Amino acid sequence: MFIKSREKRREQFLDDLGWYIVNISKVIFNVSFITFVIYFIIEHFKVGLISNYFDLNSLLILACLSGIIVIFFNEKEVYSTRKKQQSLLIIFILAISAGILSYQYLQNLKFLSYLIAILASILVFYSLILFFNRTQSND
Amino acid sequence: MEYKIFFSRLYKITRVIIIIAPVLLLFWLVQKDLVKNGRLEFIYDFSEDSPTITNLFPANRLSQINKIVKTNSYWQQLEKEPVYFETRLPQTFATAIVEVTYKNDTQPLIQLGLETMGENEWNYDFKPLENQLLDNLDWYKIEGEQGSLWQREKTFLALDQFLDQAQNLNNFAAYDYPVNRKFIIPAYQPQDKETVINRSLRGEHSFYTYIKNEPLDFEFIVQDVNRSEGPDYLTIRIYNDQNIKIYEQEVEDDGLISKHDPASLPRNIKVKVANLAEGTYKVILDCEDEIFFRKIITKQKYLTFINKLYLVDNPEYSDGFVDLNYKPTVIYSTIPRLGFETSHLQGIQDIGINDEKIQIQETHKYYYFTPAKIPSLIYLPKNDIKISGRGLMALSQETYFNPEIYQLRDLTGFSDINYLISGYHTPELGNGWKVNQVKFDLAKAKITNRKLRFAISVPELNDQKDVIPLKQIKVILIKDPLSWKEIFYKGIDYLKNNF
Repeated sequence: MFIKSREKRREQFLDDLGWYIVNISKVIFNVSFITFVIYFIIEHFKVGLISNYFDLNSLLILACLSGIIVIFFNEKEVYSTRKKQQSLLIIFILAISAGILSYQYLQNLKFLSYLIAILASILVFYSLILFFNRTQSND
Repeated sequence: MEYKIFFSRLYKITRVIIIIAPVLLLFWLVQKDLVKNGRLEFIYDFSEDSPTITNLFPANRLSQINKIVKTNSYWQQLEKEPVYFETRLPQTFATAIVEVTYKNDTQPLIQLGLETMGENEWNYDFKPLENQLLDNLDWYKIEGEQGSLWQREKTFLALDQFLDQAQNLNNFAAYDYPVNRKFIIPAYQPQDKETVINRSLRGEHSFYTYIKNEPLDFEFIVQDVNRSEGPDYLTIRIYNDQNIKIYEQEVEDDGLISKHDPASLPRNIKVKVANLAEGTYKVILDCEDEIFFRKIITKQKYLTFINKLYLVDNPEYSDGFVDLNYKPTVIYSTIPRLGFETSHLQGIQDIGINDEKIQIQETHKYYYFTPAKIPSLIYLPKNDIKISGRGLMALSQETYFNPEIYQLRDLTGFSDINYLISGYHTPELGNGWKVNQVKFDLAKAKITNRKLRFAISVPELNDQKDVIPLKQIKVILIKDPLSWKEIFYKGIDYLKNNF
């Protein structure tokens, strides 16, 4: 009886630990990816501010590792409205970032640089929305 | 159940920490980038690419990076010179100290240069990393934090003691040490006769002259040898002792541009500038090797050539000039390390330097020589020799003067000098590697894309089968420390300027 209860407790512990690792990995994935994008943009505007003292690749490695954990161990879940909103916000931020970066690189094209930046934002936004919808329908 | 509660709480705490961490990291990075304490250090040790110091370039002047397995350290060797590297500059700094760990036994001079703003495309402020001529100077030496002092007789016990009295001294020289003193010849009187230099010189030359209550008055008799295609221009520029250009004259081509054309007829180019303040003036004759200066006539008493003399009174040029004066030339030189080169078989000869001799046996090869005594008299029996070095030369002792005495570029003749002050320190030796530092003022540094560029130059390396292994480059950037209040205003200024 005592052994059975101990084993059950151990199983419970491992289940909860697993839940903790998977959920923290989700947070790490999101945070490291978003941090990478933000740091990358900052680095673009002030070269060396980040890369002089910190290796941006370490954020990508972190995102990859946590992403692998999430992919392999995450239980499938139904997307709530709140989650959808969060995802849309991230997609929106990424699309705006793509537009800003395009503008930065193509500034010397004057009027065309604005046009290309807007197009880049729209393109990234719709590509990610498409990707997001397909992932959801697969789930 | 209790595990679920525990992990749920742990998850909440960890999530907050993970979300806050990048914000804190960014805050730390910004304050690091602002260099609040005023000192920033970057190191490149060849083990991997550094984000702050670039790899050395161009690659074809360097070996591959090698590893010493025993000590797990890396090194790369310089096979040709100069090589360059760049370092990031996060803020505005006042000073850069560059420390290099390297090996060198045979090269008399290794220099580090900082790219500076200037008229030319290639402007570098070079300072000695290792100067073996200076290391071998057998005067009494005192080293301090600010530099080194060499004394002919032991008078001062400490560098500070000398610096306190330096203002009252006239018998000292400075090498790589800032001395704010104008060079003046106290009892100078203009001469009332003309000096005529009757030796033919080829190509670009520069020289110093001294003016006091007299116009700067030169006449150059020039000819174009027309040995190669294209027009050949001459530009004469004059700079005062503040290195400010005060005069420029463009001399057009002679009209003969084919290499089959004969040498041009002599042309007289006159330069006269009146109302000049007393002091030293530098005259630069900027042209290709096609231009021959057949004669220089001047009212000035002093005329000292800088770094180079290319004497060409030799039968090699008899196809172009029938009136060359083939007699030997004697040069008065205070250059401590001389280089000789001839381009023609007619220029192969034995050159006398005081009581010593150097044999020029091949064309297009540099021969280097360190005279046992400075000043030296150089005897060129056949001419057609390019003489070069870091220092000054004259075609007679009477026309020689040294206005660089407070800003020497190398050792020189020290006949009236008892003290030599320098910012240079002899390199330290450890584990077979030499380490030395060079300090640069960044006020005139050229900053491109928030980067500084440095050059490593070993002037004699390209003419010898030698290499310089490098183990580490460290750049220390220094500025005034910042208070939080200054950081705040800096941030406001940044936002105002950018948005």
